Amino acid sequence: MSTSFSLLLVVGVVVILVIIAAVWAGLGYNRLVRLSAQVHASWAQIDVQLRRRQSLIPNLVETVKGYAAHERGTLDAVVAARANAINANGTAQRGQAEGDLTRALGRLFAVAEAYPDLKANQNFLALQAELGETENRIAFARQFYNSAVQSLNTAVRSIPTNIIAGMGGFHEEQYFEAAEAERADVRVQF
Amino acid sequence: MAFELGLSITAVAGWFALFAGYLLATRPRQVPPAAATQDFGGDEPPAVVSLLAHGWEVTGAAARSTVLDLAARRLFELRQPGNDPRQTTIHLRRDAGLTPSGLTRYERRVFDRVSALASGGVLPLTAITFRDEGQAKTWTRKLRAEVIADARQRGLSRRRFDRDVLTVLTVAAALVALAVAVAAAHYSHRAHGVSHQVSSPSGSHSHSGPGWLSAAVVTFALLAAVTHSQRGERDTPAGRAVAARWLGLREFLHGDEAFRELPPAAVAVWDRYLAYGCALGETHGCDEAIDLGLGDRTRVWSSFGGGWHRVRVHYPRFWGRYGKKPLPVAAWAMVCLLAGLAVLRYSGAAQTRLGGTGDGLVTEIGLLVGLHLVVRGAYRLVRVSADVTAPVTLTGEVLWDQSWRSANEHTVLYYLAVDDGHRDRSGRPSTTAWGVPRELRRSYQVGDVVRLRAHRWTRRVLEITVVEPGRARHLLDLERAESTEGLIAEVMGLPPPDRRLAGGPARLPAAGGLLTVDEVSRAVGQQVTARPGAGMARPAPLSLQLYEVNGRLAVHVAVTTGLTARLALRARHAGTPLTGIGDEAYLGDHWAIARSGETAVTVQIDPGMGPPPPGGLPWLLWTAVARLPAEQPRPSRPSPSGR
Repeated sequence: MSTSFSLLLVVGVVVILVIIAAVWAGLGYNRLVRLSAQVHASWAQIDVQLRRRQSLIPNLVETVKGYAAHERGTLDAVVAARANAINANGTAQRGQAEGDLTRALGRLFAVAEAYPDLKANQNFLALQAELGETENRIAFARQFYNSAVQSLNTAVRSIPTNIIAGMGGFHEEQYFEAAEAERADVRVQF
Repeated sequence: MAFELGLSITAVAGWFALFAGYLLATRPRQVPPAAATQDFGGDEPPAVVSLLAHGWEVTGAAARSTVLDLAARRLFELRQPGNDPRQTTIHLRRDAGLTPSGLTRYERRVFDRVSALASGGVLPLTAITFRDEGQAKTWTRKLRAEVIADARQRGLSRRRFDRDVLTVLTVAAALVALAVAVAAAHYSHRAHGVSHQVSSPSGSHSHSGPGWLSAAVVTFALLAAVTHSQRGERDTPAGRAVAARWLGLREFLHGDEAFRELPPAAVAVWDRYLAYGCALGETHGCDEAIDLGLGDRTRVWSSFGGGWHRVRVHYPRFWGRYGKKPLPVAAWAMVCLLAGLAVLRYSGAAQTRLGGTGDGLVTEIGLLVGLHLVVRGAYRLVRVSADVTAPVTLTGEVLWDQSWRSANEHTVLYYLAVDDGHRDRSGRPSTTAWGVPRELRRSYQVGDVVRLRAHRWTRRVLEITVVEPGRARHLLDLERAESTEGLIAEVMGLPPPDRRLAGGPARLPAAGGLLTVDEVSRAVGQQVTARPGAGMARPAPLSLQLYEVNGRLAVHVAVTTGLTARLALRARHAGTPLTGIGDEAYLGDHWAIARSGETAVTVQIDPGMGPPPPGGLPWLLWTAVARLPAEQPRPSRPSPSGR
């Protein structure tokens, strides 16, 4: 009687522990799934904005070409940077390519300063404004993406979620770094 | 009896069923969110977005998100020096100017509160809480009305019960009242018929009285009140479309764990996303740090003496001497002293009488009790003497003002917490609230710097003078009995709803044309003003509000007509009848009402002003009634006053 009761007690405790572990593992796994999904959703937002920017560039190049055709070097650099950005794969490579494109566009707008007619062109002004708005959106999209990556990476590295992450195939994601030119633009006003 | 009850209950139940049906039919429907996106749903301000995201209800998120939005738009800056978001401070931008343009009314309301409270352009975020419950409620009601008005003007929201629904419910209420009247009349007829047959077999008619009429009027009034009570807002097609887009952003933000925990100062990086996240209920970190409700009365922010600091305030509850005049305290001390002497004198005799030797237990207890009473009495006498001979004078900022002790439904003593720079033993700012008698209470406002003379031991204030009015005085909102719908109409520049329902503007005189400020001042025995300062609410055309010099509402004069006038008169029939003023007039402690034809004029003074001079209110009422339009009957003039 006493032995069977003890056995029953041990089995009961084990079963309860297993249930608790299963529930905990389920909750942990679901959280990782949620975080991973958020990373992908945030990346999709970046992707949308980057493609939006890329789609604006041919029009911009054509417009500038009409006023500053002999600035071929600058125009070619923008076209090449765009092509690289379209073909880039992976977060790091894409970040690098988009950074190059940002710098090339910066040079193009600097060149445009020397052409008053171009600066007065409505199409150019509209494209410039739209590109500025898109850059702004990209900045926020990058913030959201990096925030989501930070949450996921923290969960993947933390004990005991790292056990579930290892079993579930979750891994750390790369941050989408800002282009050096953008980082250099930060100004602190006092 | 069964027939009458059945008829009445069926009619009332039917009306409530109709009412419930309308409630069900007009409830805001759930809006399915659009696809999750990081894009904003439109150009609606965060407060309006919070209305749409919370089922067309204005919640605390409206004010919180507006604070964050103003920070995102760089009208002020939020800085967090440590890890705790509650340490965040608000810094006004010097180049933003005192009156930034392009703000909605509710944004202006929030901005004005922040800028008025700031000392040296700085304000702790947790110091924007209110220190007066009435002010907090009034401010919130007005903000709510302004947000709803903006949403309605954008076509995103509408009143839950529109005019058609109100008409149907009102007509149905009239039918129910008729049914109740029939039932009451039937019952009355039967009951009197039976009693008549029993008591008066000669066959003379009995008089049933107007009981059925009262039942009908009361029933109609109750149902009409339920009909016209504020039922909130409901969706519109445009509102649902906009809400769906904003809910798409909420879906996106909901998945971001880190975003939810961001502090208010993160607005510098996240810009308006944080404001909209707050409006959508996705920023728990900000929600905990920003509070525009009633603050904690035991830990109050003060800027007295320069920098901001938090003052710990103690509110004595069980001090027998607290706030009392010296004479009663001294009398009790004397009683205590004499009782102690008596106990000392007679305790030995009592022991002897009980059969002891005079040095037993009773004697020892008597000795202890007697000594305690004597020492206590003597101590209190000394302290109260010191209070009387050397009252203290101090200067400080009023931190909190609250009623404490009441008698006969009137507060006779108020807590007054003043920061005079005092610190406790640990060096932290602290104070113990003073006891202010009722007659001194109206001379100051929270935030004023005052000089007070008081008895230190009993904490009773003898004299109080405002040295410097508080920075936020001009923001004091008047508590108005006007319905939320009335406030919304005022914000939208529409006539009040009761006038709209009556089918256009009534031919009533403006209350301001019936009385002058001098006349009212003369009648109430105090100087009152029409406008206490800039930023005060505009009085409704049919009501006149006058204020004391310190900005408190003093007198309210209202002109009403029709059902409203009849109900107002009915509610005041218990007052003393006044003859010679209009068709009928009544006088109460702090009010007077008169009817002239279909028009009623009510004059009400704030009870806190104390009783008006004898004859003041009747004279004021006569003056107002005498200036009603010519078709109103003219009364003979009563004595202007007892003065």
